[in-house]
Amino acid sequence: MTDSSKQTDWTKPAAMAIPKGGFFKDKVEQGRYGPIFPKSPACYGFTLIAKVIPGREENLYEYARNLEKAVAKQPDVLAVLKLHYLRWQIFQIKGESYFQYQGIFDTDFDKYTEDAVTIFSATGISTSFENLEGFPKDWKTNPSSFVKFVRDHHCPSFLEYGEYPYVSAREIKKALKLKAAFSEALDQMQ
Amino acid sequence: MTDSSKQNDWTKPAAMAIPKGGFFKDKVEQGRYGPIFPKSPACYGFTIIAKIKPGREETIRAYGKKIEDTIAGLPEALEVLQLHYLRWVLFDINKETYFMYQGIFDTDFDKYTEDAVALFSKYGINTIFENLEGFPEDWKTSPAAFVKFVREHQCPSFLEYGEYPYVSAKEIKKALKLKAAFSEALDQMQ
Repeated sequence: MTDSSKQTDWTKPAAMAIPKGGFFKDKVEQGRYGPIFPKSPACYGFTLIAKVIPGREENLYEYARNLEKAVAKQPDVLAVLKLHYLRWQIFQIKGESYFQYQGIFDTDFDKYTEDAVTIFSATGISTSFENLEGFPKDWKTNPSSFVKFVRDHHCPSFLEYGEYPYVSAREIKKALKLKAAFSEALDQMQ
Repeated sequence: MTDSSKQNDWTKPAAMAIPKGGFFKDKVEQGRYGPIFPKSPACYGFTIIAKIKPGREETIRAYGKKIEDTIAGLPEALEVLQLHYLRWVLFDINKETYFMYQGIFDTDFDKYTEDAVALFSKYGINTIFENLEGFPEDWKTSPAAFVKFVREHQCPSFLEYGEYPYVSAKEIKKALKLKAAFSEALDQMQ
């Protein structure tokens, strides 16, 4: 279900089952750090799960408040990541806290991670990952160690669904702007 | 950050930090089954995590293919759920396998769950949740038991981000259709 003709039909909702491991073995594309996870009707994305260093939950809540402020101040701060949505959770398994980062975006997994390292360094925003077990301390100078951590902690989906499949956030924003402008123009004709 | 003026500005990406527990204590709205999780720049959503019954991994993966085929044959099958994206994930923690269901949609949590129960019954498909520990066997006749299970296994986000915040899938699809029609009209003028 990954051929380009299917990918251009955004008019019909679509679901895609994904084999164990996250790749279609006959269609694996190699990226710079290993195989590239395929694009699905829900675009590119990831689900990162890692254990929180004991006692660090509060740092993560603090990080959330800081990121809310950073985006309010400069809404395009994360533009390079080509995002749709991001969601962060903390959940408990047998009394231990785990961190989860879910993303839906339009750039491939490895590029996303490299761009994220660049943004964190450029804006001085620290990464919430510093509160996770096993995260490399030298990540600022060593993007490949960051990518490795992210790849090691990614849990690929076995099924993904998109209501307006394969459409990029850029196309969605262009369409919303056109609709708003068209609405405004019609109002002016009254 | 949940007042309606903020909710109307889809032109600027927005992030929202969410307190522990998933609610703003001063703004909790009561739903039919308990407090309603707030709408964020990433719309309504959930992250349901539960342990799978031992030996059920293959059954769960096979379900992925079944859903892919169902949607290919009937793209509007899930229309009532007012979805943007869904992702289903299996992951291991300490050699035990957990199931996760991530959703982004425009209807509130309790209504979503009730509608999902109705859909499963309508199409005669069993839910994947039957392979999870603690899932109520009488779910088909007891939507309230289903909702209770889902609420108990929901892991609320502590941070959510939307690139085109608060816009419903309905609005997005309308805008994409208008853009396609406008494009076509311009082509015809050549």
